[in-house]
Amino acid sequence: MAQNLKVYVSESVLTEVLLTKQRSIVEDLMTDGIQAQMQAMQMLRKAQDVTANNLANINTPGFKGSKVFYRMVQEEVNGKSVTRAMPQQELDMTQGVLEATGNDLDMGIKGKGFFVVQGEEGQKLTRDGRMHVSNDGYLVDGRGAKVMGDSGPIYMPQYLQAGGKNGEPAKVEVADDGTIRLNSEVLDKLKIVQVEDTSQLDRMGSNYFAVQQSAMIDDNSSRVRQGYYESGNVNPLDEMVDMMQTTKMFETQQRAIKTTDEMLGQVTSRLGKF
Amino acid sequence: MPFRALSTAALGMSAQQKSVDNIANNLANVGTTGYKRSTIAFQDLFYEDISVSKPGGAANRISEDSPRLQIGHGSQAVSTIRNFMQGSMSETGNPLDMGISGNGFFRVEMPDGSIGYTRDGNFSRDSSGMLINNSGLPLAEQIEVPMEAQAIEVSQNGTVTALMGDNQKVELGQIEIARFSNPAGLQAKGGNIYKETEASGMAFVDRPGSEGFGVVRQGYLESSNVDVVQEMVQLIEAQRAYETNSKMVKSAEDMMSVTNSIKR
Repeated sequence: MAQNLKVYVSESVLTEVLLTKQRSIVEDLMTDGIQAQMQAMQMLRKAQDVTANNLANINTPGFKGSKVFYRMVQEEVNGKSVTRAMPQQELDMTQGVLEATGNDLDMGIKGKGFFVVQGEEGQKLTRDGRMHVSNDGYLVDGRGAKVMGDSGPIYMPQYLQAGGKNGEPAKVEVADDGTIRLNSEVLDKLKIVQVEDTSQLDRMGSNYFAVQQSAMIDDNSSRVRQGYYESGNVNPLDEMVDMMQTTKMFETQQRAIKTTDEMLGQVTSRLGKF
Repeated sequence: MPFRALSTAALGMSAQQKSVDNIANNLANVGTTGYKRSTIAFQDLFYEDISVSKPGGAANRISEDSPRLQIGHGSQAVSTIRNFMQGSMSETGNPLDMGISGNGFFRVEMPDGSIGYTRDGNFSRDSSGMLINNSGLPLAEQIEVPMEAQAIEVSQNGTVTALMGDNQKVELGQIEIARFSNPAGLQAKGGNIYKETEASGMAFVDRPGSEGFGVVRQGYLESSNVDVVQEMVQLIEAQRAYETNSKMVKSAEDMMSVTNSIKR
């Protein structure tokens, strides 16, 4: 009778111990295993989204690709230290190839600078320098935003009147420092700015970037090429490799989840027999 | 939650498709008098700011140090840019053929009475002697050539004179041409005709040879300015970009099927 009681007590203690152990194993597998692997899959998905956007813009003028890289971070989760990979994004500011168009108002930049345009919501930066003169005489980009010169929006209504000699239209010459001459007279200089820390550049779509006014630095080192535009800088080969890698890593993570899931199944079914 | 990469790549494909269509149209018009080649302008679509969620926290908790990703939604073909570079002049020997060397467009009267603009100077006479283009549209100057005229002369400044039987010269009229500040903004109407738009600006009309205007060359026609080699190169580029994007569609699909097979 007394012996029976003793067994009963030790059994309950044992069960208690085992259940606690089981709980901690399950918890570990959940936080360190499944949760982390799910997160990794989400990240890989986002990396693939970025690659897809790069590939979709292979032929977009002035486009700058994005690169995703990972950073290891230590984190505290449920009182335990866990190492995680965090995705980070970086603009790839590599120079794109300058393509000749023969159009006097197409401009390409060789160097790190950006053209500045006056949009409806303030100034924006762009590398897409295919411009024309609007009806009201302003130099505008392909989307109608006024292109900025050193002394404000570039205004050249003279361009709209026939100007040159021998049946030639008004002649616009842009020197490589951005100085614009209209029929040999200096009119203004294209405003070209650099941004030191490209992580501050916000992608706006429509080939624009936005940045705090304070981050713009006047640029005297970039060179303007008239009659050219810059093609996008996406390298299809790199992107294809990234794409394949991401897909494979995604599969690997999925297998890891399955394995963890099986372990969880083992833990719960084996220990559940007690 | 659908895969963004899938729709991004699909949008990339459709943009490239438009580019291929446009190149096909250029190539189809290699032999069209006065045709100006066009290119498609691409731009990237809007971006979504995504904050990477951190483990152990709320699903989308944004903190100072959480890295920010900007996920783009693909690309789009926004507009067609027509390139108005001069095509080469080919001699036809037909006195009613005119080519413009330099800037400018002939003006023809559309059936609705408005003015259409064209570089195609392949004119002829209709039954009443009126100068019409090959779609039967009369020149805006309404120049009539008398039936008994022996020869027609068009000067470089667009003055049309007829040589009559008795060696008399009769001035029939003055062709004027139109110029635009931004010809790339003109709207193509088919039949080699363009219409002015807000983007092209208003037409400046003057005599050929005035400042800023080209001259008329009788007996010549301007060939199309499509460069077959260049178009072929662009076609290959567009085709490959299309293919690359289709691979991304496939990859996104693979990833979706991988996701589905997590559950045994």
